[in-house]
Amino acid sequence: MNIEEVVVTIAADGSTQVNTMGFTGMACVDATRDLERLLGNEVLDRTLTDEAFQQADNPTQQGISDSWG
Amino acid sequence: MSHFTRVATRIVDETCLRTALTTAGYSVPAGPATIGGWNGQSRQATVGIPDLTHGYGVGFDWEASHNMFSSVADWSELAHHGVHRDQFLNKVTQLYGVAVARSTMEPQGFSVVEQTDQRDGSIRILLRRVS
Repeated sequence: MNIEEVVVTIAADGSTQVNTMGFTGMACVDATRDLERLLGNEVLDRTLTDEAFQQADNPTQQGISDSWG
Repeated sequence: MSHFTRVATRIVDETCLRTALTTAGYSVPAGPATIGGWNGQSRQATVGIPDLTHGYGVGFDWEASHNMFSSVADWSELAHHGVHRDQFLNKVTQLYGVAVARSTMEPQGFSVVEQTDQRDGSIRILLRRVS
């Protein structure tokens, strides 16, 4: 069984933090793409943990990397 | 794996904006709204609360130059009746974030496990998908 979690914290000043846990490879970035888009797509910073690079050879990562920054 | 992302929330989706205003307890007409202002004047807005208090409303129009919805209201009159711009807009923006979180994550199979109002005024939503 695989449990994936997303914690969204919306501060009183309107800024939002998104934290994902339990995803494989870069799937977490895919899962929150629409979320970030509808929040205005103004990403202030993004921190990836080591797990994000577990599947560095996975070819699907090429397309995903376009969404960074 | 995990990531941690910080986003400056901007209101860009009309449906989620409507959900936010409704969640806040306001009555929002389905189409454009006629917003009450100073001295009985009124104007149209894409989304809005016609009469927030004492005949004064708040509207939202798409602002192309900023790619976001911005508010229109007689804030000085509203302030006389206890509605303060920053306080109001921050709350709407927060509830907009809640609406966005639900509407974008639930179609992907995530469910809201808990939603809590925290002591610092933030709203925390935990979504989970089990596969």
